[in-house]
Amino acid sequence: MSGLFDPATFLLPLQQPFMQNALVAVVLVGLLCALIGTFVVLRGLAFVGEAMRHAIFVGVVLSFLLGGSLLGGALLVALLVAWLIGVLGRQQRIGEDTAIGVLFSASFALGIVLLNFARTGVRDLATMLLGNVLGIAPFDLALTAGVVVVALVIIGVFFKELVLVAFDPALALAQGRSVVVWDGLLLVLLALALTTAFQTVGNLLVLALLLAPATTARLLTRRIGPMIGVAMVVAVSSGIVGLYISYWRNVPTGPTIVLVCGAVFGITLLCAPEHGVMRNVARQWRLRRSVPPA
Amino acid sequence: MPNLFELQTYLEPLRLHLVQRGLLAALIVAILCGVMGAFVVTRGLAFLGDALGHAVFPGVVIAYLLNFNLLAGGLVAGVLTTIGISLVSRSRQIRESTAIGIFYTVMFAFGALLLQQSRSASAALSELLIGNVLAVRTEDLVLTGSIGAVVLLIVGVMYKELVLVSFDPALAAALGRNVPLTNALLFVLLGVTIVAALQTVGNVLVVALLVVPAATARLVAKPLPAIMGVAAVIGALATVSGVYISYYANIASGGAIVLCACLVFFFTLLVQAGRDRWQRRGAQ
Repeated sequence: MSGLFDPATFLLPLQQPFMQNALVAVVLVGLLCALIGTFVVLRGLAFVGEAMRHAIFVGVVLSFLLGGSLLGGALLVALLVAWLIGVLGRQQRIGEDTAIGVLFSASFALGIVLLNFARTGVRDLATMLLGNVLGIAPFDLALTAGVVVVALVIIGVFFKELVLVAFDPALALAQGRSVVVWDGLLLVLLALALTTAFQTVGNLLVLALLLAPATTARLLTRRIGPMIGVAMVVAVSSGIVGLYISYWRNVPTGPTIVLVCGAVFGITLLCAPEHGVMRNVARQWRLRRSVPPA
Repeated sequence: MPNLFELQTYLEPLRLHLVQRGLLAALIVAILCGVMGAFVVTRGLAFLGDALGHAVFPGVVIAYLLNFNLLAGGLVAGVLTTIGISLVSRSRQIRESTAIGIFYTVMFAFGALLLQQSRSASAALSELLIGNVLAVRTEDLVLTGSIGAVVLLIVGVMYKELVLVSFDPALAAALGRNVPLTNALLFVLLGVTIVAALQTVGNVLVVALLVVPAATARLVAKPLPAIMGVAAVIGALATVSGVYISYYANIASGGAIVLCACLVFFFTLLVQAGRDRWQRRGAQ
């Protein structure tokens, strides 16, 4: 590895087409995950995302077996599972947490059993779960870009409604807005993001890219606009840094990106100016000192 | 297709020692998961269980690379994750579910990177992820059995405390019980159960065995001991049929076991929904 201050260190890898594609993919997926992740974090949909990504797994295997569009199949199954979570979770004796647990267990087990029948030709389990951004095809890249544009437009147009429902569903309901509709829209966007990020960081690690940048941003700012911005910067830069590290060290890209993302989150959690752990400890210590011992 | 009405169909696989061992190990795990699953379902710990199932991964990998006891490695990682999640979710800025989601994915990424360092990575990875009942060795069986016995014993002895803290933490604190410590004990028991189940059903499907039978049991039973019992029975039935199906159809055993359990769940749900509708019509 040559010096970090030499521009060639960063430019040389980019001469290979697969690195160019990977870089574009990482940036696009970072933008998408940060944008939608912000709403997911605010609305508390982490576990729903977890269930959806399992559903996407079975969707991909199914559409591979039946020869349909992978993206279409994944989206369809993800939305079906989201709807089932709504239906089952409302049953009093089941509860949302358990409904999600049952549904994603079922879909993942189904995916694994179906994978048995698709031994030949289907990408192996490890690739599916951990992603392979270096093998991304130009068509997938165009598709990802399209999804990013669609998500940006949808969120731009319905920004006020989505923010209101994410922050205060009760108020939204009182104002006569349909929470179900806006939650539904958010779930569709979530399914889109999870499906698109499938190839970059893999099915297993998508959730990190969705949650960690947005949570990092939440620790740093209270306002929604800056929060989305900070989340985007965190997601995109961890994506790029992770990509380079994985290139130089010859390690898998998806996990590396997730670890970089996790490191940024961990450092922010410790050092954030207002809500950081160190600041809180210092505050408590000062408080204790200001109270005279009994 | 084997003849389902002939005794021979059921006895033949049992002649093989590996099927005997696998079936026994899976049964122990199913009973254990039934008992612990009752707590998971009534307290809404499904996401934590899922996260623990993934988060023990780096510990298992490190132990595997160092030729150390896999179980101990997984346990250490599980305990560390639980501590991390509870520390991070203390921040008012971060929800518990978000903390769980971040923690387990980062832990899992760490494990995946570590595993990449070893030669036999891919095979070992899928083994850990989806499990293989038929690869259980005699010493694994002994280990799983003793873990199961210890966990069940602790649950039996501490039953009153665990239930009190689970359902009325305020009352428990007022009675002078140590709530955080008892909760920690419950999480450690959960972690032990998950690690013990790793080999049988695999990392990804452990949570299924924890949640699905107990959720089914909760549909038909109310008191906690009854939920535990019914869940253990359902888990055991799903396990036996899953192992037979995977033997004859040659599919992944973990997936087959979980699908059987899910079938029971959805069947029970449908029957209940039908009965409710019928009763409502009768009342009108």
